[in-house]
Amino acid sequence: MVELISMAAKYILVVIIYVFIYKIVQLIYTDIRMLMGRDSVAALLPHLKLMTPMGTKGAQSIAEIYPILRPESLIGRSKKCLIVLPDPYVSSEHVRIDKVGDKFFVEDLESANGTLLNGKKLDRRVELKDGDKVSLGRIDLVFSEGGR
Amino acid sequence: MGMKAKSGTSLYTHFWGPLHLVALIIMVLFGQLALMGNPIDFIPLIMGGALLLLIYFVGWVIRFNRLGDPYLWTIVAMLISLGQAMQYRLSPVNGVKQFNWILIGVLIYLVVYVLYASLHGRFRSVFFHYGLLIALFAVTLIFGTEINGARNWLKLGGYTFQPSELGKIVFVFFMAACVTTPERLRVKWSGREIDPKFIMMGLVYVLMGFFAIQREFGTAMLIFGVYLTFIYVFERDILFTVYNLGIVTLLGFVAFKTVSHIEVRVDTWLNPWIDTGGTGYQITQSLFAIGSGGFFGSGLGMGYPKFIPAVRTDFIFAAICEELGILGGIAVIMLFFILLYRGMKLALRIEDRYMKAVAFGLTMTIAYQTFIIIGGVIKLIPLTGITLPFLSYGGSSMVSSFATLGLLQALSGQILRKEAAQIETGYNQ
Amino acid sequence: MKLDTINSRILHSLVFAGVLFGLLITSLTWFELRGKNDIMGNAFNKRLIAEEEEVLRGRIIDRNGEVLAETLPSENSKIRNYPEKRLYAHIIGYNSAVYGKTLLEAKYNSELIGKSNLEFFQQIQKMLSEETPKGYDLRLTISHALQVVAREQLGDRNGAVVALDPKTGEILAMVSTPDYNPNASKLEENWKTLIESENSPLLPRATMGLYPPGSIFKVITAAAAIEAGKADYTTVDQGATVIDGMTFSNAGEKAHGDIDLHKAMTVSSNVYFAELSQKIGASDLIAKAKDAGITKSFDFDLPRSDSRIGDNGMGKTELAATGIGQGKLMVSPLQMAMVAAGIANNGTIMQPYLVKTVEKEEGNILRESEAETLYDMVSPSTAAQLKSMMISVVEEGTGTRAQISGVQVAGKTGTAQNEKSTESDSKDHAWFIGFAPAEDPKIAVAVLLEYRGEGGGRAAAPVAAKVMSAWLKLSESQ
Repeated sequence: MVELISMAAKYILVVIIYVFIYKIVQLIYTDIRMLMGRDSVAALLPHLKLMTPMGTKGAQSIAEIYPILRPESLIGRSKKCLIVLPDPYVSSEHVRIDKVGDKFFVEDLESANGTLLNGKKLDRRVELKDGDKVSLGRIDLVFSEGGR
Repeated sequence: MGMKAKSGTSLYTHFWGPLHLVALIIMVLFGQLALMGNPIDFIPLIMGGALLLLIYFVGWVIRFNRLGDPYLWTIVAMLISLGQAMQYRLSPVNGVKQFNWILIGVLIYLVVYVLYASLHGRFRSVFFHYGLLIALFAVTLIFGTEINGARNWLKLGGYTFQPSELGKIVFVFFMAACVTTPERLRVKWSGREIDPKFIMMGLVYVLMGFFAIQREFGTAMLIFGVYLTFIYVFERDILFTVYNLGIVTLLGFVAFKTVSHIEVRVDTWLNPWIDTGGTGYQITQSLFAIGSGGFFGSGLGMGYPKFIPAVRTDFIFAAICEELGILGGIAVIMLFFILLYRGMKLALRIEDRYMKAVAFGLTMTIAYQTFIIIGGVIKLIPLTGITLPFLSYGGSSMVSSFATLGLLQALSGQILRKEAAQIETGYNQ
Repeated sequence: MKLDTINSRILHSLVFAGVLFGLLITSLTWFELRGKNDIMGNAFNKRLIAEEEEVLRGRIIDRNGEVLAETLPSENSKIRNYPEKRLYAHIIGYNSAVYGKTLLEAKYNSELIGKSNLEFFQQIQKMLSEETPKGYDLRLTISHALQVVAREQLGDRNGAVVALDPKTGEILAMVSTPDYNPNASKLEENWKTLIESENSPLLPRATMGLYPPGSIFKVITAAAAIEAGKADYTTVDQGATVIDGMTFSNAGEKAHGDIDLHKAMTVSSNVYFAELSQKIGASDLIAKAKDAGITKSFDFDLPRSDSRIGDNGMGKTELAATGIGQGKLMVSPLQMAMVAAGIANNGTIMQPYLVKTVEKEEGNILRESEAETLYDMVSPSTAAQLKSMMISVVEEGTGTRAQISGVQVAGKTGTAQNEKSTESDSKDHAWFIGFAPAEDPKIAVAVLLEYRGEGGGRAAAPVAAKVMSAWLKLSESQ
């Protein structure tokens, strides 16, 4: 009986180890792609990543990185904003990111078409967590705490 | 638009996934070990459980405090899990001791992280490091005990440890200091200034000689490899590297002809079958083991790794190949490669030259050490007695491996963070 | 130095390290796929022994189930027992922890310890069952009763007897003397003597021994003549002939007068065949010898030696010598038994084999050997002619001592000069090859008596007769 378990286990073991290696390599590869041509340091700071629209492969990649350093950062169509998004469905001042100490909060500024946070409608000021996706107009912004 | 963001946001987002796989491996391996008892051996269950806690705890510490590159720990977690399962399988008594060493190692890992982060600027002196190395030698020479024909062990209150394990880390710092502050090495000889790089070369060769005298050929090879790579990277003139290569080849040849011990080692490497029972015993038993597992191994506990001499230390890789298969062995090699890839990437990204050199040197040390011992065990190169990081039995080896890891981790975490802070203040202005 | 240069050199180092590690992986893989095959069987690989410890080694039995080798428990370990002692030493060999494994014990080691290309489910089944795993049994083609007779017939003379079933290639009996006791205790006791004895008791003569064939080779010379269209050669045999300065004479310098192929074979005339060989020519003679398997190798259950013959460039005297079975010719008893079997089987030599089946337990067959053609030695009509000549040999020629009452026997005698033969003291080898019953052969044999100094017709023929008649009686009752 023990022999049988051993025999099964050795195949399972090898499979798991190689899945592990594969996963790690995959992650490292996405890291590299992410940082190609990027300012290596900017990604260390808390930032928002502008994601390209969903391609045919179903994966998004990063078009731009915006570090968030000021206490208040505006996002919208207007050129006054820190992040300018020339999308017709985006209001001139659509969303504001507040930096309070180490925490970041996002608030919808009564925009015409609304804002989604991780798919749910954003109707009040919410704290941003690492990985949160803020969607406005046809654009996705992903928040990252940084710390490479 | 309503989909959850799956693309890698920060470095830590997909951190837990691979760790869960490590957890799975631990459960399979230690579960098997438990089932090998009559009727059940509880120690592996406890050990496996403790290991699970350990890897998640340390993972959490790194994640929570953003202590730099998370992949370093992930890979090492997998390596020590495989290693620990093998160690327990080979000897339950020593397996427990090894586990203790892992715990101590992890402690060292975290302590070194903290220490280095605060001290990184201070100790950059060439002579400080060289002095440390000489001191280590002196102590070993005077107080050392001989084990297995090599007088490179120190006994301290019941524990034996190998100073050379510490020495190789100090050597990296020494080299880093040499190449980044060569002006400290300026010496005048009858009015003319000798190029610092020759001073450095002299010091290094003397060091190699010390190791050779102590019969630590593996470490000498390692030191030389690291030295050569250092001068290739940091010395503008590539010819210097070529000259050194030439000199060492010559020296090696001379040594081969004159030192019988070395000649024996090379002959045994070329054809161990002549004296299968004597000089060729170790490597032939290793080859029998590696060959008997097939690609998937004979299974944990189902092979005969105990026929291999020194199996828990130098030949642990052969035992892994026997029971976890050639595929298991290849996986271990790949894991080490990914580790050194991360180390190199770190070295590339650090801007301060000294720290760049340290990161680079530590990474190459792991690379060469792994290559030298695995290569020896599979008869690719002659056998030397150095350990496989994280997998070989022994406190000195484990502590030094984790110390190296801690240094790399510290470099990846604290240093880059500080640089980022400098830029941030630049941003705000 | 510029940072960029440093960084690019660092990248080089990474690539270099990658190459090193790639070498490690390649090396390991190559070893697994290729390199390990030659070394894993090394005696120092204790795993072989360890694996065996856990299994009850399979038995070796004769075609009817008589036990020839089995593993019995003894004290707290196991012992390999050979109940027939010396009789099968040169077929089965031994399985010793000290001296290793030889012959069948070595070749079929995997099967005997139960490790084989088992089907997946059978493997699982094995693992689930709790009892001590058992190895597989080997059922040989050998008939123990016949083997006993053959051994008895050799007595205390050195030599070999090989008996084959011409239609299938099954080896019915194979004896080599001198032999030894392969049981472990005796083996250890006698090892030094066995190794040092000039008699070479450890040499299996039937398969590995090479001897000049002498007159039994004339069947091949005749075959070559027939197929080269030279079979109608006649000459006047006056007891001796001179070929290129060398004299070739008959036994006792007996003259036979007018003589053709048939008569020459019957009386074994050296004069005729020496002259005939000149008509055939070296290349055709050698080619026919090769058709019969001389110089050729084939896969066999035991180690064997290839038979030898001179080359195409041989001179006239060597050709003549070869024609009568001397010269550079060296053959093994197995080879000549195969020739006899080939003639018996309408000119086709079947692949000889020793292992009939590999069985799980009695009757549960895992693998079964099949009869296979090996060489097309001669055409059926040539074979028929040879057969008729060989019948004459036994009926009225040199092989009358091979007669069996009530059975028609075909054969050929041989008395081979060798390196030890001198004028005064003949140490000639005594040979006989033959088969019976001639019209529908059930057994073909080759008998060799080393250095006897007695003629083949005198010493070897009776051995063959006893062996063949024993088999005919045995197979009747089956």
